[in-house]
Order: sequence, then C-alpha cells, then structure tokens
Amino acid sequence: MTVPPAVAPNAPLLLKAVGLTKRFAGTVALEDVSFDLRPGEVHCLVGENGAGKSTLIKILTAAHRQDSGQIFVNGEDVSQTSVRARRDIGISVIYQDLNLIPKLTVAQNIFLGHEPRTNRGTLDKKRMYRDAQKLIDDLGISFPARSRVDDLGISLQQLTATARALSLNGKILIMDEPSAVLVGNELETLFSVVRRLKEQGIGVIYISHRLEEVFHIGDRVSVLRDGKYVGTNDVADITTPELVQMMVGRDLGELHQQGQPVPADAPEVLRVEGVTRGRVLDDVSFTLHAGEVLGIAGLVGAGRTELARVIMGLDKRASGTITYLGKPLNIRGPAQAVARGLSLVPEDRRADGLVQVLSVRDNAALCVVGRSSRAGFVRFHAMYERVAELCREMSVKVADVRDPVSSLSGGNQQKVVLAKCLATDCRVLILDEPTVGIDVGAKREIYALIDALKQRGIGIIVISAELPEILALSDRILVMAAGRMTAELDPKITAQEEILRLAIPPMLELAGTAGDDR
Amino acid sequence: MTARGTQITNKISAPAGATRDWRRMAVDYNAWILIVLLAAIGSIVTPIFFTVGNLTNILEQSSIIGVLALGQYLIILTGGIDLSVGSMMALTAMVGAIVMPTGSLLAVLAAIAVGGVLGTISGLVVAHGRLPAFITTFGMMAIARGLALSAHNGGAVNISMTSRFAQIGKGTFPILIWVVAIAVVYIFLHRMRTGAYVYAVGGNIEAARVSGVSSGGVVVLVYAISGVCAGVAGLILLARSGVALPTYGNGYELQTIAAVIVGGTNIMGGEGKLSGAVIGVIFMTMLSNILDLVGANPFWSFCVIGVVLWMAIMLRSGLDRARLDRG
Amino acid sequence: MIQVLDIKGQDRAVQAPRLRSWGSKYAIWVTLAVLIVAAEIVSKGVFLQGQNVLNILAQNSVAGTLAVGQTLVVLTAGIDLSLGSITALASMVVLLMQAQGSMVSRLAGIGVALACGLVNGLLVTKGRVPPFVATLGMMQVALGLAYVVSNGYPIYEDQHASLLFGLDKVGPVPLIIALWVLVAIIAWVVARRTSYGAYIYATGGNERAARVSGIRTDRAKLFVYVFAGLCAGVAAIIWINRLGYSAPNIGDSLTLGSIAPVFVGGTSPFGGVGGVANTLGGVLIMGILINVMVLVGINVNIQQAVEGVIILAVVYMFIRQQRAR
Repeated sequence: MTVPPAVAPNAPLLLKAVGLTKRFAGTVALEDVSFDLRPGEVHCLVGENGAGKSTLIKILTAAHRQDSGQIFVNGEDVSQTSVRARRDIGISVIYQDLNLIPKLTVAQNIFLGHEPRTNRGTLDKKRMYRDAQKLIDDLGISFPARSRVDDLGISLQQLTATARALSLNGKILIMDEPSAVLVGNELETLFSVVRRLKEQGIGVIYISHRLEEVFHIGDRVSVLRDGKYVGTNDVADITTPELVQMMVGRDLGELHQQGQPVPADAPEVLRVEGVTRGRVLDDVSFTLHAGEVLGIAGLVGAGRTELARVIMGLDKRASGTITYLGKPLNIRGPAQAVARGLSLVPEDRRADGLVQVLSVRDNAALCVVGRSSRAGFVRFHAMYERVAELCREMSVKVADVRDPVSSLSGGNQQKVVLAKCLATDCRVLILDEPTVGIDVGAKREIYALIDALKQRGIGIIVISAELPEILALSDRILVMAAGRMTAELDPKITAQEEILRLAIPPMLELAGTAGDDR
Repeated sequence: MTARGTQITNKISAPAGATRDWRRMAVDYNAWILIVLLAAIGSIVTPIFFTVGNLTNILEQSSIIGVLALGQYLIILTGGIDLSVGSMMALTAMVGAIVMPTGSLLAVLAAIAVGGVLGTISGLVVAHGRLPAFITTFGMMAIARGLALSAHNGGAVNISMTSRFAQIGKGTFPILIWVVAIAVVYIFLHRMRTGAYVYAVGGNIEAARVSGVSSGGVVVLVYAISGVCAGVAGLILLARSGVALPTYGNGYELQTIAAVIVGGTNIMGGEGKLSGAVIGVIFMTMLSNILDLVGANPFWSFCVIGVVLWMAIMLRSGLDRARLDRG
Repeated sequence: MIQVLDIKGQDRAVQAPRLRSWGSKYAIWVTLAVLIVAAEIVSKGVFLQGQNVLNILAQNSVAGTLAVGQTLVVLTAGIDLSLGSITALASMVVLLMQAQGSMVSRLAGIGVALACGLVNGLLVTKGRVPPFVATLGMMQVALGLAYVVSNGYPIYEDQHASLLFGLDKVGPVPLIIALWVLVAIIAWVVARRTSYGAYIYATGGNERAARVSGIRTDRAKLFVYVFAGLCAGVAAIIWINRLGYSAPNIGDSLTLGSIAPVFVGGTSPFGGVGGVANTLGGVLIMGILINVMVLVGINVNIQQAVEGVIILAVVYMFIRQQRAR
C-alpha cells in the first residue's frame, strides 16, 4: 500500500544535502552523506541505533556544524547558517519529547515566543487563538485551540507540536520517531496529518524503526549505516527484507573469539516467567544459566532496560515470577538484589553508575561497604586492597585510585563500574549497553573480561543494540520488541539481518477507514 | 483529494485523552472544598464564626499575608521559592516608617523600591548565579532581617495614626488593596505574554528556552514582583498598626508557602490556580480564627500551620503520583 | 527539589589534578590561620590568650553542635531548617522537668529532640517531602510546641545543674566545649569510619547511583535527620548550662548559625563533598569573624546580614568552581 508521490520527480528540490561529514572525538558519526527532499514528499530515513540519523538531524538544524559538505534549501546555500536562520527558512524538527508546556493552552504553545501583537504592542489574544485554530483545522483534525495541552492525548499533542512548526514557517519538517509514543489507533491521526502536510507542499523527513510505516506513508526511503549513506529508493521499488539488508549489510570484520561453550549441565541461575509491567513489558520469560552469556537484542524502547530494572528491583513488576538460584526473588528494592548477588552495570554510567565526586576506589567499593564492615566500622584496608586488586585486573588506567573517578576516560570509568559489580561476587551480572561511548581498545578489553567472567560461572546478561557485538559475545540471543520477547536465536547460525527483522516493532493498528481520501 | 481547509476529516469536540472526571475536579478545586468544609466546621463549633463582623475580620487579617502570597505564588510557579518575604516585609515597613516624616508618598515609594531592589537581587542570584532558590532566599532572609534590625538600632519606629497614610490601614481598605493586587497579578498572568512565560519556565524550562523565552528574565521578574509585594504588605501593616517593628513577619514565609500549596499549586512549579493562592490564605487565616474563637492556646496555631503545610504537600504529591500512574 | 535553574543534570566531571584538590582541601585551614593571625594583630595580642580562646570556643559551642548535625544532613544533599526550633523546644522540656533531676530532664529533652528529628526524617524519606519544606514545617511546629509548653515565657533554672558530676569545668576548660567536641568526634567517626558514613556520602553524591549499587539511601537520610535532632538536644543542654535559662524564641538565629559554618567550611550544598572537620573549621571562622566584628564595634544586627551575605558568597563560589571544571 504505497502513497503515490504528490509531486512529480522532476520538481525542484526543497532540500539538498551533499557530502556531509561529521567527526566527534575518535568516532566518525557521518561520512559523506547525501540526502534530498522534494516538496510534498515524505522521505523516510532508516538505520540502526547509532547509524547517524540523529547526527544528520542536528546538522540539518545547525545544532552541530558539519566538518564538510553542503546544504541547499530551495537552491540556496545555507551550509554555514545559524540555528535561527535554519528555522527561519523552514527547517523544523518534532522530537519525541515534543517540547511543549503542559499547563498552557494549545494556542499558547503554538505561538510561544512569537505571539501575534496588536498595534500597541500588547498580546493579540483573539488573533492568536484564531490563527492557532486555523493551523489545527488545516491539519485535518479539529479540536479547540483553547484546550490545555496536558488534557490532550499524545497524538493531539504531537499535532500541536506540528502546528507550532508550521507557525514558524516550517517547510521542511523532520519527524523523529513520531510513532514511538503512540498507542492503538492514534497512528491514523499521525498519518492523516502527514498527508495533509504533503498536500500543503511541505516536505517531511520521517524517521522510524517500524519499517511497515515506511511502506504506508513514505514516498522514498534512505538508509544510513554506521554513519555512511547506503542508498535511496522509491518505496514502491523496494521490499522490507531488502531494506533490512541495506541496514545491516556490513562486513563483520574480525570477529571477537567467543569463549568456550556453556556446559550442558550448567545450573539455572535465573528464571523469569511472565513478567509484565504496564505497557513496557509484556509477558517476558527466559532462563539464564551459570557461565552463560545471554544477549538481549532490540531497539530503543523495546523494554530491555526496563527488564533489567525490574530484575534488580528498581521498578516493580505488575505480574510474573522471578526465580534466582532456585528461590523466588521477591525483593522490595535494589539493596536486596545486590545483597543476594545480582548486579547491574547501568546504561547511563554518569547518572546511575558512578558517584562523580568520589574517588575511584570509593566508587569501586560502593556495593561492598556493608559487607566490609564489622559492627558498622568499615575495614578500609582490606576493602581498598580488594577493589584496587580488581581495578588492576581490569586494567583501569589511573594514576592513583584516590583520584576522583571523574578524571577517568569513558572506558576506564566503565571498568570501574565493572569492578564495583564484581566486588560483590555476584552470580548474575547484567550489562546494559556496556560499550557505548567507549573506544575500540577498551571495548576489546571489556569483551575479554566478559569471557573471563563466564569461566567463573557467573550468569551474564548483555543488553546491546550493536548487532555485531551481540553476535560475538552471546551464547544465546533473545530479541525484544515493543516489550515482548520475539525470538530466541543461536548466534552461530544467525545473521544480523534476522535479528534486526525480529527487533523491529510491529506497526500500530490502523483504523479500518484508512484509505478514503487517497 | 480534499481541498485545503474546506473539509475536515475529524472533529473532536472534547479534548481526547484525560476526561474531566470528578477526581480531576476535586483536585482542581480542592481549595474551595477545603474552605467550605472549614467554614462548616467553624459555624458548628462556635456561633460567632458566621457573623459579618467575624468574616470581615478574617478578610482583613488575610490581606497582608494575601499580598505576600501573591508574590510567593508567582515564584513557586517558576519552580522556585522565597523564604525572605517575611523579613523583607519588616524591612520595608521600617524603611517606610523612617522616611515617613519626609513625606508619605516618598515613604511609600521608598518602601516599594527597597522591596523591589532586594527582590531583583534575589532573582539575579537565582537566575544568573545559578544558586538554588531556597539557599538564595534563605540568605536574603538573613540579610533583610539584619538590615531591618539595624535600621533603627533594633528599635521600633512609630508613625502618626492620624496621618493620611495611616488611613489605608483602617477599616476594610487593606482588603481593597489586596483585591487590586490580585487583579493586577491576574492580568499579568492571563493577559500578558510574560505571564504565560511564567508557566512555561516552571512547566518545562528547556522547551521555554528553546522557544526563545528569556527564562532568566522571567525569573528575575517574579522575584522582583515578590519584593514589591513585600513592600506593599509592609506598608499596609505599618498603616494598620502605626508602628514598624523589626521583628515583623517572623514565620510569614511559612504561611505564604502553606497557603499557596493548600491552594493547589504544585511545589515543583508550572501549575497552579491564582484563586487557589487567594483561597489558601483565607483558609489559613480562617483556621487561626477558629482556633482563636474556641479559646485554644494561641500558640497552637503555630503548630497547626506547620502540620497543614506537611499535609498539603503530601496530599498534593500523592495526587500527582496517582495522576501519573493512571495516565 | 526546588531549584530553579540548578545544575542538577549537569555533569560534575572534574579534570582536577591532585594539586588543585589539595588547594581546595586545605583552603579553609589556611583561611583560618590567616584569620587568627589577623585577629592577633588587630587585638594587639589579646586574641590568642588562653581565656579568650576558651571564651570563643564556649560561645560557639551551641552553634558548633548544631552545625555538626547540619553537616551530615547537608552531606545527603538535604537541609534542616528546624534545628533552632528543636533546640528551643528541647530546652523548654529540660527546664520544665528540672524538678525530676538533671539526668531525667536532660534525657527527656534529648528524647523530644530525637522525636522531632525522626519526624523530619520520615517526612523526607517516606513522605517524599522536599527536605526544606519538611524542616520548614517542623521549624514552625517545634516553635509552636515550645511556646505552648512554656506559655510564651522564658524559664529559668531553679538551681544551677552542673554538667557532669558536680563539675562545669575541668581546670579552666568549660565542659560544654568537651561535650561539643565529643559530638563532633562521634559524627566524624560515623561519617568517615562507618558504613553509614559511606552511605551518607554516596547518597549525597549521586542518589541514583547509590541506589543502583544497593545502598539503602532512605536509611541514610533518615539517620542524618535523627542525628541532627540528637545534636539539637545536646545543644539545648549546653545552652542551659551556659546561660541558666531558655526561652521559646531562641531558635530564630540558631538555625542560621547552624547553616553558615557548614557552607563556609566547604561542605557542598549539593551533597557528597565536605565533612565534619570542614564544618569545625567553618564554626571557628564564623566565630572569630563575629568576635572581631564585636570587638570592632559592628552592630550585632548587621552581623546577621553579614552571615547571610557570607552564605551566598560561599555557595556562589562552590557553583563557580563546579562550572569551571
């Protein structure tokens, strides 16, 4: 079901980006990427996490300045203009978090910062509400501009954000994962709005993980992979498997050598059955054995971190059981989880992993202060010795373990977090995106460490969106999408494409009356 | 294909999503409910309560704290707090009394100016110095108190009770001033752009900044307004009592905060009802009034105010969390 | 937390070589030394005489004890605005019960203070009330109770109750100083040598990371408020021993006096940094400053204003420091 292009392929381009390259310290975020957009077109942009989509958006809006390459809007070179200028010539982004003020009305939000004024300079309320209502009606869904934003459902809030972009003279609208926050049949609202935009000649760059949406709403689709531009196709000329192939078709390079296989009689250390939590986790079940690395693959929002949090007791589960070392795990908080031998290396090490103002050794000792104490008094010498030894084992590069942990590089900080977890002699270790933001050398060291931990009989869960990493590290792979476990795979016989295919969340339901005005 | 603007595919009359169920209304109007309940209790407990004289008395007593609470309301809307309102009121009263012999108009201007200037300083420190609001205003509270105490060597300053100035403290004039202040604040919040920006800064400061709102300017403004409110309140108090005591306003900051929270404002900012800030003040005064009428030890009202503050804030955060879980 | 434009989300990453941390760690002691030298000069040698030193220490023993309690609270990124009122209330209770004997009355006072601290702690942990709102309310409640039990009047000691075994001094040294020092030592040991101390620093430094690491942050927070209450009880005893009376309104300036030394001493209002030793230095600095102000003849009322300015200046420097890194 494709939407015929609203504009002939020969129409002048609304946006043309050529040869965009952007490097951040050590990594190449974008390399020679090109992209163009026609008026009235929905051009979808797809790629895995970290493929470079966010960087591309930031460069288009001038939040980042490209290292090389040019950007043309309606033929005019705007490559070096400011954020303000880009906005004025019509480039607008609607992010997932919408940036609205909940307690203000729709009209107030639409015109925030650029309210219409009377001749005397005071606020022209009448005109503001009138213009706001017109913008909303033009998008095809009518509701009062007087409504307070937090009274509205999320799809209407999205519409408000869209109307705001239009009020700022938006001609090129970038929608970043717009369906990620929707439920049920709100998708139809989104699609009808997008169609209205097309009719108005506005170009939409539509980013989504749900590939089916591309085929419902898109005219063309472009694929990014590892910062490189892979290709562009008309939606009518491509299939989902081909798209997936473009997204992951990479040379796996030197595969990290896996450690020895898990013995068949390895005991079960963790069993999760039917765990549900609100809308984020839906009937998740799996088992973990001693000495096994279980990879959990999936895209952002699939519920993997939420699963880790539920296991650690940071969030409550609504239903389901967790059995640890043969006994039920009914804990009221993370303190009990850590005490019983579960440990988490969190996704955001700055916010959740380390106390930046404390020293390296104090951070490494965070989990074991209690058990290093006799009658409340901490036996510092023994404790510090132990964690210093662990830091040495992990090759944490630091001049002195008494230095503040904030003076370490990302990779070394992560090793400190690992040391902290291992100090507890945990039996289950969960690593959530353990190598994000870490240089290649440190990555390899962490992979080696994970292997070593396998030997010790620790049950390890690695959550990662990096497909090569998960394939290399895991003994088994579980794939999650939209809060559900969609598959269990054997890494030895699985290709990246298959994992990604299973990780793609299903498109939301469209109402039955979808196709009327096409 | 539909022509632009001539056909609407969907019409949604009521806002989609959260419906206006009775729970929501209870939260929005909880201040009114509380006050009606309290008034009912008051009338049951003592016959004097529901007399014109007593009710007017309550309104009169509310007016001073009421004016202060308006400034506090604006500040809490932005997610801040002002612990210095009581001491600033004492200082402006002292300033007013000291300048009074030179001319009452000058005294009024001086008092308001002092309040405004000190408020602006607090605002600048919070907005640009990036100090947490409670530390900043705590420090300002000490500064203002110290200045008030040293203005006349710790002593009080009297003014003539027959002067024209003193008239504004007589009878129900203070209530009138309070009403005017409420009207001014209402116009500011609901009819002016900057008023909407106050909600924006408290509700989602990043979104506000991204939209080009000068969040620093808004913050400075609300603290300055609070300072001016302290000036006005100090003048009313001076006119009513005929004397400026450097110890005025002790504990007033707590009352204004309690009043604003009871009135339904979120301590984190971004949401609240102006009517709530007004009702909240009347509620607190009514409470003291009832305790007074039943002959309770007047010192108990100190405790009661503190407990009310606790209960109000726990109730609000409980309601907020329940709302989040449901939605 | 109510903090407009605070740097909650901002990274506190430090690229501080060890030399810089030495500098800021010892800055307070250097300042103290400089102050002492200056005071010695200004007073023409009177300052460092034994009796004067003992006087200064004795005068600051109440504020000092409270500041110790406040330190632990601030270390968890909290604040306690009620310490002054709790002291007032506790002192009223002690004096009201003096007929039962000094031991009983003092225990009662400490018990009441502990109860207040417990309420504060529960409000903050279970009630999820922001610390300054919780303790602001307690300030009022304790004040009210102090007035209620005393009917608004000061109460005097019928006969002086000595601090310990009939003694108020050991040689020339007042025992109240020893009491203060004892409390400080206990607090220091807890903060630096026990697991609870580690929990306190971790909770203040980064509560989320502390939780993920299995630390019971609620317990740590509850502890500090109860301990602060204990300090207020002890401060009440010291007050009475020193002055022979108490009144319900003594708390007004005590709270400010408990907060200024904590920040001046180098404990960060954002938590996780600083400690009891820092605060002691801060108490001495504030004490000497006030002493000097009195000697020079500055109005006692201006002193309050000066304390306020000092708090702002010191906290501002903290924030500047963090941002510069």
